[in-house]
Amino acid sequence: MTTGHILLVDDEPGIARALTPALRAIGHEVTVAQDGNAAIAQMMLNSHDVVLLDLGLPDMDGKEVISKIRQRTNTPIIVISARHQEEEKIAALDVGADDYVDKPFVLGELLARVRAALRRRHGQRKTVTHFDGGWLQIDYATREVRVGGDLVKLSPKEYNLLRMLAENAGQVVTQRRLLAAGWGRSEADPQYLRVYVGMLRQKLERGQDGVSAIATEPGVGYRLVIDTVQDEA
Amino acid sequence: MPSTVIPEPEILIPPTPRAKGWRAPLAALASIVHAGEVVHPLVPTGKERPLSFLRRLVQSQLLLLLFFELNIISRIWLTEGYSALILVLGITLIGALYGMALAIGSAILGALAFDYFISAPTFIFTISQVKHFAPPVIFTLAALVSGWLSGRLRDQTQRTMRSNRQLESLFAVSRDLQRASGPEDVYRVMHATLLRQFPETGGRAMGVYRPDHGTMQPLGNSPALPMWLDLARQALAGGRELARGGGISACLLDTGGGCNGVILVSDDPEPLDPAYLLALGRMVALALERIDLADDLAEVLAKARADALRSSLLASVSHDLRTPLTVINTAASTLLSFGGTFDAETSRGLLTDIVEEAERLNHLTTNLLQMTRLQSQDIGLRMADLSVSEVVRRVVAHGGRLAPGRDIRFSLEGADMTVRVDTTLFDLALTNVLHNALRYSQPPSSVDIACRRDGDDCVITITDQGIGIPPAQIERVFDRFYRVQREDGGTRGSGLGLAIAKGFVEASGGAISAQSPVADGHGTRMTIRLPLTAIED
Repeated sequence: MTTGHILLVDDEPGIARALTPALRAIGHEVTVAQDGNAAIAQMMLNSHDVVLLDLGLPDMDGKEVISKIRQRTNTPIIVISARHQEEEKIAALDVGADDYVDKPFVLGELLARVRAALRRRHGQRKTVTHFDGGWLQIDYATREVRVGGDLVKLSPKEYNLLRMLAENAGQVVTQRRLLAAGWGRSEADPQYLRVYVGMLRQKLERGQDGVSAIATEPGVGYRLVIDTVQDEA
Repeated sequence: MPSTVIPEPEILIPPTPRAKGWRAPLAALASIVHAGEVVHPLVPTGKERPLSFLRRLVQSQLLLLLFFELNIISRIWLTEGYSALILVLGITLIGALYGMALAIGSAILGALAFDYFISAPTFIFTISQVKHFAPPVIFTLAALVSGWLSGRLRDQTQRTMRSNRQLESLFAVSRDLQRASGPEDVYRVMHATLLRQFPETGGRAMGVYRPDHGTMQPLGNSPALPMWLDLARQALAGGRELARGGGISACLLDTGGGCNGVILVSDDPEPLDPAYLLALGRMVALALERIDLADDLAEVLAKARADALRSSLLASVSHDLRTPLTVINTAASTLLSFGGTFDAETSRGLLTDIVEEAERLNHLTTNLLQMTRLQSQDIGLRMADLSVSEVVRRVVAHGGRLAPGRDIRFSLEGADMTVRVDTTLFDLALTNVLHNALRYSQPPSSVDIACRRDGDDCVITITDQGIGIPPAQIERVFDRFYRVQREDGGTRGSGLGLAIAKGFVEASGGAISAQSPVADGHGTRMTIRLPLTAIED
């Protein structure tokens, strides 16, 4: 099941009031914290599966909350921000956030991100040997990539980038992490990244209905927009 | 940029009883006080200035007399020929000390005296024989040679002294120009420099001129006479670095990157050394260029600050717009997707949120629009005579709907009052202040609005029992986008409300002030004072 205990940290009571019923309706358990200290206290008291965190908190900076949470747990953190500043998003991802959503968000998209985060959280507990995204399949052991069942030849860099994106499917991966995965150096020129992502998109073109599976997050990084097929049975 | 104001230099000559005779001008020079500091005199101390002719004449003749006496005494041991040598020595000395003219005079006088007193036969002028011509000729030659030599020496010394003075003056100029923060300072430095260089003539007439849209602008107290302006224009048009004419020297201010002005200096009493004037011109040109660049930089920085402010305002506004939008969007989507599964209370709560947040958005956009209106002077205020109690009652009723369960009390002291203000803004300003009072206080505490008359003013006070404003922040609450932090971190406003209230009140000729705490460390009181409409009967 992709439901869990969600900690919602936002100082706007309206947002908590509007979001809680939706999260509960699909089976999540929801706890609301109105500021950073309450959020940290909640994290110490209970175990949560996903944290939805607004960065503009009244008592402390959202990034501080992230690093405090990261000191004791690797619970996925999805940042919700109304400030739309790339540097801030990157900084939040750098200190340990897993993903971000801009305000105002589309409810369905937020719920999908929560779902992806929960899957990863459950996935963390077992060794992952392959990626199954329906039309896109990756075997991590043999490094075989299949698009719509056909084997696709990828260069080692392309493969490393795709694997990094697949391992974090549905979640944003910063340029730095991708550069580190492909080139071994996070300070390499992001221009290379653009070129390689372009080539990857071409090779993954088949099997898609016009929309690229690799979405660009301007100024931040890339996101593989494929829901993994779960062996939930 | 720190500005150094260089005042007009003053010359103070304090009484110096010890300085007498030829020392007096030196002492006066040494005590030129400039901007509170003692300026080093440009004439090196310990060196004499040239003596007057009368003094030199008297001194030279005394010297001649001394050597003549020596001559007479020496006759006891020496022959006539040898004793003449002593007189030659004296005349040479006079030439060296007092110059050629006095030496020649002394030579003639000495020759006559030698012939009359010493040369045999004594006490008779005997220039009959050839041998009697020798002493006058030799004396005169000695006078010529020594006078010429000493003249050269003196000229050289004077030249050295003058170039020393110029160097020192250039050094002082460069030091003072570094501190100049505006074009007027540049003029003052130049003026002070020439005053120090030529203290005996009270400086020189001079001016610094800069081209500005085809006309010449005099800097500081530069002469604005048509002749000077015309000369400056001609010098600039001529394009020669140095030009002279009409008793005035002109130097172009050229930094290599283009000409940015002209210096004009009077040639009275004698023209300035061209090299000196050129050096001055270069330094002034550089100083003016530096000041221009500093001004440009300050302008760019100010623009950058304004841009930064604008973008932070935009970020703030977009943040404030997004929050209610998010609530509306989420609540509506939640109802749309899962509405069927909710009980009546949950659905009603979501719908209430949508209504409230839409109201908040509306209020925010109104605030933004009115803020823009207040800021642009060209849009006039729509003034109307309004009943204070009517407007306040309407605002209270509206506030009561938005904050159910809060007690908003209105009291009017005396008769109702009329003020002449902009209707929309008056409403908005009162609403904003009331919202603030409600936002920064906890239920079930009440908010009191009281109106009373004070002289020709209407005074409206809005008092809450909330957390109050920290003393350090009380000055800033009326700033745009400034928000006092709430203890519980609850719903925050846009930071526009009180700025609009202040803008409105001031545009209406009134005043607004904040007072906190009001009682036992709690509460805030906002006092709005508006002029009453003049009563016409």
